[in-house]
Amino acid sequence: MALPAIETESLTRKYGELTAVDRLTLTIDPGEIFAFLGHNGAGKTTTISLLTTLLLPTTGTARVMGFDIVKENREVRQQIGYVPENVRLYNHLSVAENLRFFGALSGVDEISQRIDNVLNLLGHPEWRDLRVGAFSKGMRQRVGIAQALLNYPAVLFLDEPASGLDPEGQRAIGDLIIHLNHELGITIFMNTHQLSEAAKLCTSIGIMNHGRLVMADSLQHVIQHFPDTPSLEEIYLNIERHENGSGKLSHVEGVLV
Amino acid sequence: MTIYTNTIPAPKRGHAVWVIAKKEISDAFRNRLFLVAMVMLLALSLIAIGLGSVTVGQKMVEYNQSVKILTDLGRTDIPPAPDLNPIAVSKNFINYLAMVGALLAMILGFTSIQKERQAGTLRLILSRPVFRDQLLSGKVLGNALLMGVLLAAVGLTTVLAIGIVGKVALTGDQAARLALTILMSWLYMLTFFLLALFFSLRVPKGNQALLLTVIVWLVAAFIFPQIGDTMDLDNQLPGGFFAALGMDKNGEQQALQQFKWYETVRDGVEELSPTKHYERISFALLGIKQGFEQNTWLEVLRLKAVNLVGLIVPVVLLLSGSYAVFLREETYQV
Repeated sequence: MALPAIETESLTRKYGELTAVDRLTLTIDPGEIFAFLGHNGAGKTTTISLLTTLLLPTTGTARVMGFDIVKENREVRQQIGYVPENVRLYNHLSVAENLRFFGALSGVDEISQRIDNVLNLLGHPEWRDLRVGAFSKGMRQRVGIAQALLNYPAVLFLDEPASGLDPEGQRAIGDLIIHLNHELGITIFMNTHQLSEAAKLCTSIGIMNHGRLVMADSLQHVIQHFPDTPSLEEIYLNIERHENGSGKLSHVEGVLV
Repeated sequence: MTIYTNTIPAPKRGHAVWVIAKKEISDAFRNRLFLVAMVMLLALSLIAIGLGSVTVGQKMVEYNQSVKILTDLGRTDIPPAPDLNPIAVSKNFINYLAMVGALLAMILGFTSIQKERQAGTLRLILSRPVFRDQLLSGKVLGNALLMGVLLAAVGLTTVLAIGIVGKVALTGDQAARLALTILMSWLYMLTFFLLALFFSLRVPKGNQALLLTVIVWLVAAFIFPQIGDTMDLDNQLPGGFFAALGMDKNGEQQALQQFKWYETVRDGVEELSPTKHYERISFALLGIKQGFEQNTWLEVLRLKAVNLVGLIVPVVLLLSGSYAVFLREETYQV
């Protein structure tokens, strides 16, 4: 059996008194598209920061493609691609110059060829020599994904990939995510607010609330567990309501409260 | 579906440092402020060196003409060639570098961090197999190399100008003294580069970091030396206090012995200034400061060890401080 792409065990991150991620235990298999749902401040971005080794955990462990995020962080970084919520690149450089720099940092050989490959994958080879400074948010987001793909990542972390994009931009990013997962087999871990996006793209979901994982299961199971709830949005709101109020969902399989 | 696995080995630790260093160098040449300061420094230096070399050349022409006249007259008591000290043509370069060079170094130090802050690219860089110490090392290495190459170019131009315009070949000792002066200039520029880098890392707001850097520079480069000069007893009267009293050098030394504590305080204030250390050791190496003409370069270094230490200590302190600030885990937003 293949190793999990991502595996966390009681992963916790505190900022002083505030617990941003509280004993997160989660397993994501290779080839999945996992959507991490939760309101602002639920701990989603902190979780991505931990898994991408940008932050150290306070307690607990996590492995990405079998590598420990603390002890083997160089190997983890080599296995992943990361696209932050607001992709920030060097505005004074062209797309190719930006990609050359980030690719070189990962030790990618034949970088020019690889830049052509990822831009073709994005469907925009004509962007190569354009300055990033003139790009819209949607275009930057796609260049951000291009930079994350340069090192042939096994796992791609996307933090709110469609946030702030127009419907056309959202659809382009969604199609790209599906292509990367279906055609290239890249495991996708994405934070999102867009429940419709999650319902369309993901194979499994996790719901965070106040730093705690309240539910993690395949999308199919989640929908089966809530037969009377018409949409993922309703399911999500129900879970949040119960979590924050007096309702109990612990009788439902997959609910971790 | 095939499950994707990355098989690219992680690059060696030094690889990222070199990639970042190269980017620092190429970025500098896109920075208009840096280019203006660099052109200003190079232009001033080359004019100073060129004019100095012309003077050396004229003195050599005069000497050769005298020798020819004496030889034509059948004289055999030809006077020795004048001690021109050709490397003294770099005197004005030291003065320019003390000001424009420090400014140029501060521009590099400030923009090195500020550009990442403005672009917001640090998170992306650190998600690569790059660690905070490598990122900072790359930035320091790139800028240190850039300043080194710039100064080496000035040094090489000096040698060529003295040789071609002044028609004087440097002796081994003179070449070593000039090379050491370039090294001291590099340490001096590195001090102000690291000062700006440290404040950029320590103070989150760019304008405050810049203001603090400029204030420290003004105090260290101008105010401390000015206080030292003002406190100098010999500067109390035009033409010299001791000369006005009719005292010779020995008398002056004896009189100053009576105010030893005062002189210690005055010297202490001056020694807080890297600019003063830089000027003292450079002028001694170039033979501009009297009393070091007969020493070899190694002897000058020994005699001026305090000034050498005075240039190295700020570099070590500021470099350590920059690493200490940057390696703190939570500052990944810069």
